[in-house]
Amino acid sequence: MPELHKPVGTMIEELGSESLRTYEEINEKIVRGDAVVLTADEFVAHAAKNGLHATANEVDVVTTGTFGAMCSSGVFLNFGHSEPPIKMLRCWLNDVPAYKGLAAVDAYIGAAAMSESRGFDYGGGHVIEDLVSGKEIALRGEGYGTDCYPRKSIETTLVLGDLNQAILVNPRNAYQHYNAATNSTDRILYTYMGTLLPHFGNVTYSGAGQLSPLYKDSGFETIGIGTKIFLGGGVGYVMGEGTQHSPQTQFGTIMVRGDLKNMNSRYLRGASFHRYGTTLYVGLGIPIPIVNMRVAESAALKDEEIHTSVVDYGVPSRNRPAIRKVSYADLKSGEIYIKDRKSRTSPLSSFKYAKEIAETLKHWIQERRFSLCRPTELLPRQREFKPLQVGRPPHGEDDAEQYFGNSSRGSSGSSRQYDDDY
Amino acid sequence: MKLRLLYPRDKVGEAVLSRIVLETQILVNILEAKVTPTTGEMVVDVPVRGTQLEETIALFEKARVDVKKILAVVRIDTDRCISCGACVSPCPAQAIKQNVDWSVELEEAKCIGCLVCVDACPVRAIVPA
Repeated sequence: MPELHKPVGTMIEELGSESLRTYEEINEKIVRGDAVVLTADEFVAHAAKNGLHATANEVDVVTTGTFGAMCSSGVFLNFGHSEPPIKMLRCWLNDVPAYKGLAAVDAYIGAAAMSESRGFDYGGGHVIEDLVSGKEIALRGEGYGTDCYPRKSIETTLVLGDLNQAILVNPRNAYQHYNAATNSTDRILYTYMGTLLPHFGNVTYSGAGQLSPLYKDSGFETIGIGTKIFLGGGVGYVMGEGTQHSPQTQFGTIMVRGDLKNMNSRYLRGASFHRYGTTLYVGLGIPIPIVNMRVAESAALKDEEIHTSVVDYGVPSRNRPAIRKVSYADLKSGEIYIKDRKSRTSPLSSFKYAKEIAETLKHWIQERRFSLCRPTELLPRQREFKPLQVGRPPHGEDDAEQYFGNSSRGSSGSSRQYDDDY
Repeated sequence: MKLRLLYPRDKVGEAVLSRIVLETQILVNILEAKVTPTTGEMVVDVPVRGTQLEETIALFEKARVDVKKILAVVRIDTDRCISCGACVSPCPAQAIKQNVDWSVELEEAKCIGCLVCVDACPVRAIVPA
């Protein structure tokens, strides 16, 4: 990660400083059709060949891309009112429950919700893919009936065009980078990191490496609220930090939104990890304006310089042991050494699609169909990533002290025993 | 070449495979074997081709064992595949690889038919052939 506040000349540049070029200058060049745009892969190669300074002076925008499983994704829907109208308390789309704790016909369908009839095979992510593909979706709703919403049940079918709004709002997308996973136990494990063979039989990993949108601006100087992005095949925006955003350890995340009606199912795919659950593969790309040398340095980071840990998912704990550190170049080579044995590696996020997204975004900019937006607020660069304490009583109890003690699992001096659930 | 062998009821107790292996000296690899009260079924990999393969098949058929060539155990539906690679490292036979452009390819000859890849694929793009 580039050092923040590195002095440039005799001045320490403030965060987001536009000393090399401004957003306005970049957008003027885009309008004229002579903006210099490279994908992150091309920028990395260019910098390696011509040096960082020359490359930073020449290139205006670096496009990035990623296509991976993003479980914290979903769509806000408005169905419109039936005659007579219903205030739905519960509703299902193709038997997948959607969240209805909102106004009468507003709902949220989340990627990880699963069909009550088809279980792990079909979830919210699949509903979203089917919606974007134009397929008919079965809507079922139940309400308790009020004077103003007399109807108590409804069953109908709808397509995307029937909805008033279908807004993709994803609370956690585009992890800056992620772990690699392996399995030290003697049985096959089925996890959100895919199928893990016993005795370190294989290693899976996620994250687009040198194409990763958030890694290419590790200092978070250009990404923030209002950043315009490629999302699901259409245009979207960054809404701010995502859940579990942890910048200090390069586990940054973003929350994003976009109009589902302008997206396409090539970049929004319902998926299911065997015995784990359902999710949504989301295609996302962010253009990085090369506004100062620090951003250029971050955008030029190559796979050899982006590291992660191989974590043992055989340990059923929130603190899993890191077996070793590797670079994305190591992982992409197809095999790494774990202890003294060679383990094959394979990704879970699609590099083919990540490259395609970065290329597509590059073409959009070159074709003058996409301008860059200066964010109104940058992503936070500091966050405490706290765990969830189990068995902690509500604040204000007289004997609260005996429960807190030194143990994070609850007090040993208490008469109450709490089991930690994993 | 992978073969599916179906033994008739009266042949289940006879060591047909072992006799043929001794006779031909071919290192047949047994991938799957299932014996029920009425049938015996096996999936074997016979590492020979051409006339030698046809002669070996003839030996089984002479012993009244039904032989079907298995050309593919699974196939990748390229319309569904997103080239993520989730199927690649779990394959115990290393029969799935990723090309330079990260597209995923199955090498049928190496496949042992364990079907781990079918469950490993998050978009259900790998189907039994």
